[in-house]
Amino acid sequence: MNRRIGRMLRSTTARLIVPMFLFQLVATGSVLLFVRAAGQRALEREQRNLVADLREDFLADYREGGLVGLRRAIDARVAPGGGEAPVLMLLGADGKRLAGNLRDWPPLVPANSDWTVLKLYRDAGVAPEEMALSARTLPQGARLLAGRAIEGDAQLRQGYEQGLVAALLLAIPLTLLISLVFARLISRRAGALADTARQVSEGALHARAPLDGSGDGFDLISVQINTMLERIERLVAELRVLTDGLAHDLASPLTRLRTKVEQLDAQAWNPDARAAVDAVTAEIDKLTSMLATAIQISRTEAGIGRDRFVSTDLSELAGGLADLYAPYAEERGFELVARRSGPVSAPVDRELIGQALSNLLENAIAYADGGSHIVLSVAQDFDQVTLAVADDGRGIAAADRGEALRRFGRLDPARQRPGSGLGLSLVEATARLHGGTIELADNFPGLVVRLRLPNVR
Amino acid sequence: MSQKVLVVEDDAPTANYILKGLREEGFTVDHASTGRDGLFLASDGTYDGIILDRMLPQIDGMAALGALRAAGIATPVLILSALGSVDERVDGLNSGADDYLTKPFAFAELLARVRLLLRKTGAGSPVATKLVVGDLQMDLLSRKVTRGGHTIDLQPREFRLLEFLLRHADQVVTRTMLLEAVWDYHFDPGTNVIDVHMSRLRRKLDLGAGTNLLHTVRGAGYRLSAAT
Repeated sequence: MNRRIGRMLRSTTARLIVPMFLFQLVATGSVLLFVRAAGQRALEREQRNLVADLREDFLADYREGGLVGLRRAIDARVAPGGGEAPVLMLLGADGKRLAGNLRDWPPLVPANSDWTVLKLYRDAGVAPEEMALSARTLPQGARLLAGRAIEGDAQLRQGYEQGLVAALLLAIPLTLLISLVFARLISRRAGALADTARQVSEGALHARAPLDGSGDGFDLISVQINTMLERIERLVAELRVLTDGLAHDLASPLTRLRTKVEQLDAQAWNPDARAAVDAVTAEIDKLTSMLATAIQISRTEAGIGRDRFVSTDLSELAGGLADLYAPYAEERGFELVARRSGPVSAPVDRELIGQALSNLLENAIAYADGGSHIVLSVAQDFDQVTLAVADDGRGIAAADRGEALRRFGRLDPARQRPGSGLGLSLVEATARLHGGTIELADNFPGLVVRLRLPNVR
Repeated sequence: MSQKVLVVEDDAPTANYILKGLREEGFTVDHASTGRDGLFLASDGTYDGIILDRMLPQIDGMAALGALRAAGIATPVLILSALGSVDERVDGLNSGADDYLTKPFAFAELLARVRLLLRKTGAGSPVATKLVVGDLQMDLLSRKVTRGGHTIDLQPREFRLLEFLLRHADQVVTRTMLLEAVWDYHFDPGTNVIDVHMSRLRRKLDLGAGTNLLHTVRGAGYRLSAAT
C-alpha cells in the first residue's frame, strides 16, 4: 500500500498536481492578503474621516453655544446609551468630567490628537471595545474627546479569514479539476505515443505516432519517434531482402547439388556407393534445414509474421503433436503424454508454435538420458498460457541454461550428437514474437522448458 | 493423352532436371525462364498444372500468379521456391497457389506433389463409401477396415493415415505430404516421426498376410499398392 502511494507520488501527474495545488494556494492567499490590506486602508481612512467629522460637529456646537451648548449636545448624543453611539467625553478646565460616556480620560490619548486607537470600556460597557479617538483642548482649558468604536475592522478581518478558508476550500477542487484535465491531456498524448510503440512492437512496423503540428514537446517527441520507426522499418525491410537473398543464393547451389546427387543415385548400383549417396543427401538435407531454421529465426526475431496470428486451439495442437511423437518417443524408451484440460485458444502463428513444441519434444527425446517420461502440457490462467515440455532425464545445470539458449550453442553432451544448436533459439524467437518468454527450469529430476504466452481473451 | 505441365524456372540446371524428370514420367512439359514468358504461356489455360518459381526475372512469380488468378485462370499451381519461411509459405498459399515446395527439393517429393496437384482437379472424385486396394477394404461409413475378410483394429489416427494412402493408392506419398494431410502440420519435424507410424500401420496391415501392400519407396516415401 505504501509502495503504491510512493509510486503514485512519483508519477508525473502527481508531480504536476502537487506544485500546481501549492501554487494555486499561494496565489489565492496573496491576492486575498493584498485585498485585505487595501480594504483595511480604505476602512481606516473612512473611520478617520468619520472621527474627524464627529469632532468638528461638536467643536461647531462649542463655537455656537459655548461649553454649555457643547455639553447639551453631548448629552443629547449619548442619552440612549451604548450601541452605535460615538464615544464622547468633555472635561472641564479643572479636569472634572462634564459630559460623555467614558468613565475616565484615557491616559494614552494626548490632549490634541487626530487618531488614536485604544481598547476602552464605555460607561455602561461590559466588554472593552476597540475605539478610534480624537481629542482637542478648548480655548478655556476644557478638553473634548470624540471617537467611534471600530469593531467593523474586526469583522473585516474575520471576513477575510473566512474568505481565505473559502478560497482554500475552493482551491482544492479547482486544482484537482485542472490537474485532472491536464493529466488527461498529457495522458492522451502520451497514450497515443505508447499506442504507437505497442503497435510497432506487435509487428505493425508501418504505425506512426500522430502529429498535431503544434510543435510542442509531444510533437517533437513524436517526430523523433517517427524518424526512429522509419529507420527500424527500413532495417527490417533490409533484413528481409538480405535473408531472402541469402536463402536464394544458398538455396540455388544447394538445389543443384541435390539434383546432381539424385542423378548420381540413379546410376549407383553398388551398395557402398548408394550408402555414400544417402549420407551426402542426408548432409544436404541437414544443411538445408539449418539454413531454413537460421533464416526463420532471423525473420521471427524481426517480428515478421506477427500480423498473421490466428486464433488457434493450443490444446488441440499439443494433443496432435503428442500423438505424432508418441510412437517415436516410445521407440526411444519414453512414454509421451499430453496433459491438457479443455480448449485453450490464443492468437498465434500455428506453424511456428507447432515447430517450437516439436523442437522441444525432439530435444527431450534426444537428450533426456536416463528418463522415461515426457509430458507436454498446456495450462491457462487469467493472463498467460503456458506450454511446457517436461522430462525426467538428467536435466541441465542452472549455470548451463543460458548457453543452451544461445544460437548455435550446444552443451557438451549434445556436441557428439546430431543437431544444429538452433532448436531452442527458434523456440525463444517464437516466444518473443508472441510477446512471451521461454524458461528452462529444474523438473526434479529432469528439465522442464516452459513457453509462456500472454493470454489475450 | 499425357498431362501438360508448365515449368517456370530461371535456373537452367534445375529447370533441365525437372523437365527431364517429368518427361521420363510421361508428362508433356513446357518451360519458361522468365515470369513474363511464363505468364504468357499460362494465359491460354491449356496446362493441367504449373510449377512456378518465385524469384524470377521480369515478372516476379507471385505477381505472375496474381495476374493469372485475376484473369480467371484456375490452373493448379505449385510454387517451388527458395523462400521457405513460414510467412512466405503462407503468403504463397494465400495468393492462390495450391501447393508450396521449398528448394532444395527431392525430385520424388516434387513428382508426388505434382501428381497430387493434377489429381485434385481431375473430374472431381466421386463420393466413395468404400476404398479398396487388393484384398484391403475400408468402409468409410462404418469405419471398418478388413484385409482378406479379417477385421483390422485401427486407432483414429491410423485410420486417417490409411484413408489418405487408400485415396492415393499406387501413388508415391511423401512423409511431408502425410504430415500435412493427416496432421495438418506444415513444419519440419527434424526426425522421421512418420516412419514409426508407418511401420506400426504396416504391422497391422501386412503381418500374416501373404503379400505386402504398404511399400517404402527409397528416397521418397511410401506407396500403397497391390502390385509389388
